[in-house]
Amino acid sequence: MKLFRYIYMFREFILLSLLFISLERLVNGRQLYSFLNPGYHLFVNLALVTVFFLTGAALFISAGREPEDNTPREYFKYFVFIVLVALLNTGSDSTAFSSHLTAGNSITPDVSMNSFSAAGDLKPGPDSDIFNTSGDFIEITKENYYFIVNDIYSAPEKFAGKRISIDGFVYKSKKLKQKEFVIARLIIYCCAADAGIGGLIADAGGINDNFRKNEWLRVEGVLALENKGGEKPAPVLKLESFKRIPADKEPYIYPVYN
Amino acid sequence: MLSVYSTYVTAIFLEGIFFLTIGVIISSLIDVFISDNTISKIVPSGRVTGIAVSSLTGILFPVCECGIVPVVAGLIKKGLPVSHAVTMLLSIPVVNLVTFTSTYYAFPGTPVIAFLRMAGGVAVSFCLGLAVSLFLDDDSVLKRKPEEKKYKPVNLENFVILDHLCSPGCSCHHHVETHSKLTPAEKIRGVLNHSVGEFFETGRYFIIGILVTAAFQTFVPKNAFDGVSSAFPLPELFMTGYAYILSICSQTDAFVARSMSSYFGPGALLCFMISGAMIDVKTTLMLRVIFRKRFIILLAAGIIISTVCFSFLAETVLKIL
Repeated sequence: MKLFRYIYMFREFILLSLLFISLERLVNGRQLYSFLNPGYHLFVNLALVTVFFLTGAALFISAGREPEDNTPREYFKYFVFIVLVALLNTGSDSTAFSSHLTAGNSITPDVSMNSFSAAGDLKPGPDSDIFNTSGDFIEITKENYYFIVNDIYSAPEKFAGKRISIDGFVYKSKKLKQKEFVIARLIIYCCAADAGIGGLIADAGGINDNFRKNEWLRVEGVLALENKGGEKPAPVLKLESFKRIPADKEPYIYPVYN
Repeated sequence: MLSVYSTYVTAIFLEGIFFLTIGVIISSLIDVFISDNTISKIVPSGRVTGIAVSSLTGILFPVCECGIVPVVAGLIKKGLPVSHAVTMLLSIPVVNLVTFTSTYYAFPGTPVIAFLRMAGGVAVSFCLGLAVSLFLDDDSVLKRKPEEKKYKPVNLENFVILDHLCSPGCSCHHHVETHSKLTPAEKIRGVLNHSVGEFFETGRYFIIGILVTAAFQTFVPKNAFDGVSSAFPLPELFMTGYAYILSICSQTDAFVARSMSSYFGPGALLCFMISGAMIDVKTTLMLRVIFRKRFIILLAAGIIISTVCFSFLAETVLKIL
C-alpha cells in the first residue's frame, strides 16, 4: 500500500504528465489535422507550454508534501482525467468519422449547397496559378478548394460554362434529384465538433453508372446554373467523365480566414 | 463508434485546453498579486454604471468561455461584486472583437447580424446582471460563502507549507491578508499551488462537459430534429437548445449558424449565437466551480428567456428595415 500512498502524493503531477505526453503525441504525430483547423494549431502548441508549466508546478507541490496524507482520498475526483487521457490516445479514424457525418448520425448541420459561402470575404489566395480562375478549365485541388468553391457559390454566374475538375466523395441527399449527388468533402471551421459536409452538386444524368455513397471520385464536367429553390440559381456540375480514386487519408478542408 | 467519440472529445479538448490553462494561470496571478482594494477601485461605484461597464469588458479582454470561468472566479475572490461578475461571464464570450470579426465574415452580405449579436450580448448580460444585483444576495448565488471565513485568524504558516488547494470562494482569505508579508518566493509558491488546484477544480467540469457534449454529437441522430415548426418561439427555443448541446467555441459558432441560415430566420440564428456563447453543456458544468446549482438553473432560464425576447425584437426591427 506504500506505492498507493506515493501515487496519491504525486497525483496531480502524474495526471498532468500523462496529459502533457498525450498532447505532445498529438502534436508530434501530426495528428492535429484530424481534429483542428491548422489556423488553431498555434493554440495547441501554446497549450504544450502552459500544461508543461502546470506539470512542473504540480511536481513542485507534490515534492513538498509528506507521503503520509491524511486527507480523504478522493480518487473519483481524478477519474475523469484518466478517462480523458485514454480517449486522447485512442486516435482518430477519418473514414469512420466521415461516414458518421454522412450517415446523418451527427447533429452537426450540412455546410453544403447554397450556404457554402460561409466564410465570406476570404483572404485573397496567394498569387499563384492554382488560384487563377480566369481560364476555361479549373482544377480544384485541396490547396485551392476553399477559395474556389467559395467563389463559385458567391458568384456562380462567373463560373457558368467553365470546365471543372474536382475530387470528393459521393454524398447523396434527399433534397437532390435521383441522378444528382454532392461531390463532397468535410469542412472543419475550427475543430471536428463543427465539421460539416460541403461541396458542389454534381449531376450524373449523362453518365451510365451508379455511384455508391461515400465512394471517392475525381469528376470533370461543365458548370451550369439551375434553379434549386434558393434566392438565386445554384451551380450544378454536369458530369462528363469520372474516375474512381482511393479515399483521401486526410479528407478535410480547412477554411482560412483572418 | 469509439473512434468517433474520441475524435469529438479530442477535438473539443484541443480547442479549449489552452484557453482553460491560461485562464487558470491568470486567475492565480490575480489571486496572489492583486490585492482586494485594486478591484474595488477600478469597478465603477454605481450599480447601473458598473454593470454597464462590465458588459463591455470583452472589448478589452477577448477571452473565450473556457478561460473566462477561472478568471472571473479569481476576481470574485478579490471583491468583484457578483452581479458584475455574472455580467462579465455572459458578455465577454459574445462581446469581443474576435467573435465580432468571425460573425461579420460568416454573414458576408448582412453585417447587421454581427452588430445585432453584439447588441444582444450587451443587452442580455446587462439585464441579467442587473436582475442579480436587484433580487439576489451573494449567499444565494455563490457556492461557498467567503464572508464566513473572513475573520478567521490569519495562519501564515499554514499558507506557506500549504497543501491546501484553493478553489474560488474557499477560505483563501488568509492569502489576501498576508500578501504584504509574503516574500517573492512565497508568492511564486502561491501561484504554483493555486494554478494546479484551480486546474483540477475547473478542469474536472471542463472534461465532464466535453464528455457529455461529445456523447450528444456521437449518439443523437440529426433527423431527431427534423420538421421543427417555424412558429415563434419554437425555432428560437430549438436553436437555443441546439447551441447548448453543441458547445462550440463562440469564436466559430457563427459559421455553423450561417450553415443553417436556409432553415432558420435571423432571430433563431441570433439565439444560437448569443445563448450558445453564454451557456452550454461545458460552461454549465464549469460554472459549478463558482455558483450554486440553483442559481445556475435560474441563470440558464434567464439567458434563454431574455435571448428569445431579444431575438424577437431584433427580428421585428429587421422586418421593418
